Amino acid sequence: MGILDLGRYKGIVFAITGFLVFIAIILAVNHGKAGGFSDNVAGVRFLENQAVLPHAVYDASVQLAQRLQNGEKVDDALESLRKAATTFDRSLNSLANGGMITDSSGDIIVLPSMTEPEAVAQLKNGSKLWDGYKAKLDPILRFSGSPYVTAQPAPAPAPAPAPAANGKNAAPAVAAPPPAAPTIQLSPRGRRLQTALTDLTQYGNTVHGQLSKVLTDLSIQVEANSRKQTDTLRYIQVGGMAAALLLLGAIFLFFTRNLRKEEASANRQRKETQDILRTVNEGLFLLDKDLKLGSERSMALNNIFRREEFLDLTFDKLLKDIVPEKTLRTAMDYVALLWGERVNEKLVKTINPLNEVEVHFDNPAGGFDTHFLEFDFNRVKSEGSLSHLLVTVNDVTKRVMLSRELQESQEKAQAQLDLLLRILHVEPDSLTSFLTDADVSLKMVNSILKEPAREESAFRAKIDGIYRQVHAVKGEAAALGLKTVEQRAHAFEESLNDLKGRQSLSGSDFLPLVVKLDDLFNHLAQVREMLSRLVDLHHAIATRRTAGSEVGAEKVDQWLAGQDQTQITKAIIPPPDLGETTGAVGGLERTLEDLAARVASSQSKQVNLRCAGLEGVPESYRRAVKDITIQLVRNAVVHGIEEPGERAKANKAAAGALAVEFTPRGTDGYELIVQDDGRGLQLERIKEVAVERGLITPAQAALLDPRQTMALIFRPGFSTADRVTTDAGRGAGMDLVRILVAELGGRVGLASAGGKFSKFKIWLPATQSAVAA
Amino acid sequence: MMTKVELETFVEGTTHYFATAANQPASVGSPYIVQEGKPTIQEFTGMISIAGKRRGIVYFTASRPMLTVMLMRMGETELTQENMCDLVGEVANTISGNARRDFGKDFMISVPTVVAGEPEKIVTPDNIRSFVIPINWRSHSAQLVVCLE
Repeated sequence: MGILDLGRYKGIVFAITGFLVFIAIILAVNHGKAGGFSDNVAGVRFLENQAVLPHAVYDASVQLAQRLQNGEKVDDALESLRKAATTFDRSLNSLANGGMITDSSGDIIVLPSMTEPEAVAQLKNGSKLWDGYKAKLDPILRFSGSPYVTAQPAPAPAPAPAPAANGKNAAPAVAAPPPAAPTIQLSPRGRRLQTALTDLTQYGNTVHGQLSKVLTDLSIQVEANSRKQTDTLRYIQVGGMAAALLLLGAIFLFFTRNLRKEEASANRQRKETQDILRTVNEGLFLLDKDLKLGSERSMALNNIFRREEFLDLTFDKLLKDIVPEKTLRTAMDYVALLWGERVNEKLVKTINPLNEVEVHFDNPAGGFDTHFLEFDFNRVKSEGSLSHLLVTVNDVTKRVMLSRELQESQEKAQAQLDLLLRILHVEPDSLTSFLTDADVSLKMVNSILKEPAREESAFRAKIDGIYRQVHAVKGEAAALGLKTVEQRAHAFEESLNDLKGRQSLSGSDFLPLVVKLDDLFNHLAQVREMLSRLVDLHHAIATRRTAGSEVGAEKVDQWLAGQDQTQITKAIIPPPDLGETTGAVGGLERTLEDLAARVASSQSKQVNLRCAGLEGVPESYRRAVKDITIQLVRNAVVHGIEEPGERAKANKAAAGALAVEFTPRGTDGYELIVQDDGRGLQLERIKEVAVERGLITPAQAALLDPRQTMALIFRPGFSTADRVTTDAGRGAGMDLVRILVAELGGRVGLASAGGKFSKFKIWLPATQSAVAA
Repeated sequence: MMTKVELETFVEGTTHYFATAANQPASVGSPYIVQEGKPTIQEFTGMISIAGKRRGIVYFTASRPMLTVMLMRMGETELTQENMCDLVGEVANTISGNARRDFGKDFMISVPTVVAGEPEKIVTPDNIRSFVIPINWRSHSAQLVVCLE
C-alpha cells in the first residue's frame, strides 16, 4: 500500500489534516495580531512622550529668549531647543511614514502607521503646524556663536573719603565702589536672534499646545486602534475556536455516521457469513501455510469430524486419528504440493487423493464408525501470492456406499451370470445333490480341523481325512463341470499335498487350509444362492403361466425339470418338486455322462458311457456310489481308454466303451461294475511308478505278482499320470475308492487284460432295509 | 476374503506375547471355522476392533485357570480379576501392535477393550464366518478369534 493509498481511511485523514491546517491558520493569525500589541503599546507610550516635546521646544525657546534678554549664555539653551526640535521633527516624520525610531532608552520602536483618515488628517495638521514652527525655528537653530558684543564700561568716580572725622570709631572708609561691570549688548545677530525668538515664542505660544494635542489625539487613536485590534483578535479567537469546534463536531458526526454505517455493514456481512457458515452442509475452513486451520469454519465441520474444538488444530492432527497412516501421509504430501507457487491447480485437482477418503471414528460403544469424506482444495490468493487453502469437506458416505453397493451388485451379477451359465449346463438334481454333499464334506473337513491337536501326529492324521473329503468334492465338481469349484478344491488339495511333504507340522501350517475352506464355503454359498434364484424364477414363470400368460423361459423350466435339451417341447410342464430326491440317481447318470464327455474331450478321446441299474442304488449308498463311480469313470477315461488313433491301430472303435452297472444281489448285497475296453492295466508301468514314488523298492517290485501289482493302484499317492492336473495326478482317487468301499464294509475286485479291458468289481453288503425285506 | 498372511499376523502377535511375557511359548492348535452362532468365549476376553481394508473384530479369550497360571509364571502374586483383565488386554494389545506393524497403513485398529464374562458384549459382524485358532499353553487352551469381513 502506497503512502497516499489510504483506502477507507482517506476521508478521516483528509478531515483531520484540514482541521489541523485550520487550527494552524487561527494560531498564525492570532500570533500575528498579538505581535502588534507590543508595538501599539510602545507606540502609545512614544506618542505620550512626544506630546510633551512641543512644550519642551516652546520652553526651550522661552528660556533662550530670557537668557538672551538677560545677557546670559545661550549655548546650552540653544542646544536644548535644537535637540527638542530635532527629536520632535524626527518623530513626526516617523509617524507620518510609519518608520522605526530609537527611543531615549535605545530600544527600536516600530511606529504604528497612521493610516486612518482621521489620523492622517491630524498628522497632516500637525505637520503643517510644525512646518510653520520649524520655519520660525530654523534661523534660531542655525544660530551659532555669541549673540553679544562686549563694550568696556566708563571709569567709575573716585570713591568718597572715609567718614573717620566723623567719629572716633569711624567706620572704615567706605570701600571704593566696585568697578563698573562691562556692559553686555546684543550684537546685531543677537538682536536678530532675539527678534526670531520673540517671533517663535509668540507663534509657539499658540501652536505648541495644538501640536501636543495632535500627538495626544494620535496616542488616543493608537490606543483605540490597539483596543480594536484586541477585540478583533478576541473575535478571531472565539470565532476560530467556535469554527474549530464546529469542524471537529462535523468531523466527529461524519465519521461516527460513517463508522456506524460501516459497522452496520460489517455486522450484516458478519451475520450473513455466520448464517452461511452455520447453515451450509459442507465443512469449510481455511488452511494457512503452517497447515493450521483458520478461526472461521462452518458448523457442519463439527458434525463431519465429530468434534467441537478446532482451535490451533493442524490438518494432520485433524486426520491423524481417523485415517490410516498411509492415507495421512498421502494427504499431507498432496496438500504440500498445493502450496507450490508454480502449480497447475486444475491438473493437481485431478490427482486429489482425498476426493473419497475412508475415515473411521471411534464408536463409544466399541469399534469404529466408518464414513467417506470428500475433500476439495482451492488455492486462495491475496495480492498475487498464495495466502490460504480453502478446504471443502463433504460427507459422501451414502453416495459412496450406494456406488459400492452398485458396483458390488454389478460384479456379483456378473459373477452370478458366469456361474449361471455354468450351472445351467448342470442337471438340477445333480447340482442340488452336489451342494448337499459338498456342504457335508466341507463341514466334515471343518470338524476334522476342529478336533483338538497338540502333537504332530494328530495334525498329520488330519491330512488324509481332509484330503478324501476335498477330493470327493473336487471329483463331483469336475463331473458336473463346475470348474470354479473344482479349481478351488484342487488348490485345497495342493495345500494338503504341501503339508504332507513337510517334516514337522503345527497348527500354523493349517492356517492356509481354513482360508481355502472359507473360500470354498463362500463359493458354494454363491452357487446355492444362484440355484435358489433359478428356482424362484421358475416359480414366478409358473405362476404367470397359470394365470394364462405366454409360455416363456422354457429353458429354465426344462433345466429345472431335468429334461434333455434335445427333447425340449413347447408342452407345459408342471414344476417338479425339488424337495424330492427321486431324480438323484438319474442325476448321477447324467453326471457320469457329462464327466466322461468332459474328461474325454480334455484328453482328446472319445467315449460312450452306458449306465445301468443306478436307479437301484439304496439311499444309504448313494453318496459313496456316486463318489466311487466318479473316480472310476474318470480313471477309466484318463488311464484306460486310448486315443482314437491308438484304438484304430488295435482295431477298436474310435470311441471307447465304458459301462457302469449296479446290480442288486439279494442278500449278498450289491455289485457295482465299472468296465472299459481300453488298454487295461499296464503292470510294468505300475511297478515303475510305485518304485519312483517310493511306495515299494525295486526288489519288492520284482517279487510282486499281477494281483499284488494291481493292488498298488489303491495305495495313497499312486498315480501313473505324468503331471498333476485337475483330472489326475495325485493318486488320491483310487485310495478314496478303497476307503469308501472299506467304510461300507465292501470289497474291491480288479480284472484287466493288457490292451483289452479293465474291470472294477465292487461288492457292497446288503443294507439293513434290504436284509429286512 | 481373509488371507493367510492376515491370519498369521494375528497368530504371531498372540504367540509372541506368550514367548516374551509369559516366559513359555504357546503352540498353535488346529484352526477351524465357526459358521453359525458365536465362537467360543471364555471368562476373559481382550478385543480389538478393526476398520479400513477389513472390518470386524479380533479377540483373545482365555479361561480363569489359564490366566491364573500365566500370572503366577509372570511372578504376579495378586491373582485378581483385575490383573486377569489386564493380562488379556495386554495380549490384545500385542495383537494390535503386530497388526499395526504389518497392516498399519491400511487398517484402523482400535485400542483394546476387555470383557470379563458378559459374552453379549462381544458383537461379531453378521453373516461373517469366524476363524478360531486355539492357542495351547501348557495344559490350557485359549482361543484367538478373527472375525473380519
